[in-house]
Amino acid sequence: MPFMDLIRRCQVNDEDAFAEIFHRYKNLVYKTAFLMLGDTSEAEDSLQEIFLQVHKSLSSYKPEKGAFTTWLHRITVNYCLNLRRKRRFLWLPLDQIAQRLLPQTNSTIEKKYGEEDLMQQALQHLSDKLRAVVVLRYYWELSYAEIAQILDIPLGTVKSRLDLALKNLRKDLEPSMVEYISREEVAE
Amino acid sequence: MRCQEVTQLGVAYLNGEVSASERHLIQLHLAECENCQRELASLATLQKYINQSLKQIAAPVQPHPRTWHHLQAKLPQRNSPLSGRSFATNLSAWLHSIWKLGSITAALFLLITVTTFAIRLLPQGISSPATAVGFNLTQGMFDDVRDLDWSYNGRIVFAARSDKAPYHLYTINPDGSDVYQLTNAATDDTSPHWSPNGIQIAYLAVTPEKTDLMTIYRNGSHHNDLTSNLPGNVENFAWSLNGTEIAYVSKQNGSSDLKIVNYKDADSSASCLTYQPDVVGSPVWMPTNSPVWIPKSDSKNDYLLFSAPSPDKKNLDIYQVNSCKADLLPERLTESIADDFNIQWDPHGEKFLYQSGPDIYVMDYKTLTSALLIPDGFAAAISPNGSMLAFQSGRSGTNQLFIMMMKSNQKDNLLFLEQPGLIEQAPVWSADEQYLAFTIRSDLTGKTDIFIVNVKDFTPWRPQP
Repeated sequence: MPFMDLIRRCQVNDEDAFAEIFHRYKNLVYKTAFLMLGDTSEAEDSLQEIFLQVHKSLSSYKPEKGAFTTWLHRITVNYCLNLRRKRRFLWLPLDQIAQRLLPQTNSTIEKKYGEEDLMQQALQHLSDKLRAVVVLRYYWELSYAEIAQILDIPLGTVKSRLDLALKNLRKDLEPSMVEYISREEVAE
Repeated sequence: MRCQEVTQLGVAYLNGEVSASERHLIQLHLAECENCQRELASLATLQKYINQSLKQIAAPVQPHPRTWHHLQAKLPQRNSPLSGRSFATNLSAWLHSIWKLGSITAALFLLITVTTFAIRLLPQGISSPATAVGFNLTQGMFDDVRDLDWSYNGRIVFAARSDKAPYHLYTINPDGSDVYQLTNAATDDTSPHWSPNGIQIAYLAVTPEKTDLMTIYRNGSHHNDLTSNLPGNVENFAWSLNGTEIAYVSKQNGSSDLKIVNYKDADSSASCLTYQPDVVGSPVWMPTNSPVWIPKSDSKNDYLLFSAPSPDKKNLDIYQVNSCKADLLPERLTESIADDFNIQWDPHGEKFLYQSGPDIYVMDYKTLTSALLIPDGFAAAISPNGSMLAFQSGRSGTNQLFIMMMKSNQKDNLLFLEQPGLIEQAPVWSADEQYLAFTIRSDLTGKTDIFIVNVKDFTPWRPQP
């Protein structure tokens, strides 16, 4: 079925059409929420809440104003940013907490965590706004213009946020990068 | 173009987000500048690394297969199919809805089966700290949950309400299974406490007119009203260590006295231990193995500690009274200028902790000397064997839950810190000291749930000097 028909059917409250939209785009929402919030159960809750919001506001979606995915990305990121703003408290896996509290030089603990954990940790160290830019650029590989549209910020702000985010990430990731670079060199 | 400008545009250049003229200028510069070449190469590696790592992190996580069904249940219902149509259409719609109801029931049954299964698997999740953050026991079952108590045999009792109905008592297994409603009266049933043998539960039944102390067996039988024939409202209470008596605070005519009632003999009149007004908070029984301090000749150890105003009525102090000798005046144990309350005995009876103003203090019961234990801490809860202390502190700007190891007289060996949200009451410990249970109110739904965290696998941590 053409995508616009699907949207039109959703707009007249066709549940099957909405189910189709959900299954097509659940990963887009879920993965963004997971990377933004750093927690699978929060991502799961957000997935439901975001699609409820989509269901409610689908009638206001105008295809001429931009792609559906851009619209959906915008709802998702805004939801996650609001959630973080509302919920100043953060559930963290207990081992991460211990790691956060340990001095960075404690190599025995650090060795226990793989690259993925370090990346996850570095990502959560970023402010919410910077994290949003990083997820949209480096996970979804969106252009600066698309990111600007999703976050409703000027192009220049996308640039500066990305620069700042990279600067912060570099600090956190440098130790594990050394290993990565040597692996890359071997591969080449 | 200078090096600084190239560095500034580096990320955008690598991402193809610079203008054609900028690209040209950057390429001219790069051809001559090795430093900038290195910098851009390193930026490119960093970007590639981030890209690959993010994909690695997100690849294994997937939405739950049943999310759509949960979501579907939350979607607003379509217009009623039976409005303004012919009888035949109505009939077919009606038959259709019957059919649909059948399939929904089947789906619901499946869902319940799946959910129950999942819950039974969850305790394993708790013991794996890498994935488990805190297990939500009640999952939005109630609007409000309060007053947890964890029996030594494993069940948790709590008071809960939904839809503005009165609070009823429930028990639940720590894996979330087997929720059992214990009371169903028109009274607000709150503050349940397990008897030491884990068979009875004492609680407060609150009406606008009177608050009474009740007991009930864990299976819901043997409902017993201990104070309905006695004057005064019961405010707080505590089981004696052998479970034969309950000490409680009775408020009458503006004064709060400490009384004792025999739990088995409901008709017996309660004996009054203090005639000092305004006993504040819960009385606390001294552990039976405590080295008795005063009077040494006394063979029985049934001492109670409680908070009450100091003689000059400027602040609260901690007192002790011998429950067997009602004629002895209560002894004042603390004399600080702050309010002293929330007494927590170390189970070995050698010391007790108490809140003093914003800080937690410890008193050595042999020498009766107090020392500051935790500055800026509150809601202390000692673990059943006394090896750990849970407390909250707002020292980092938001209230957080801390655990401190109590052994070996080391004062400053805080072990870890968790950020579980706004905990509403002091947490309760499981008998094996492995888990902590507490209630958290969700900012999003406004509902309160019981959460459990595993404290067994925390990595030791020493605070920075």
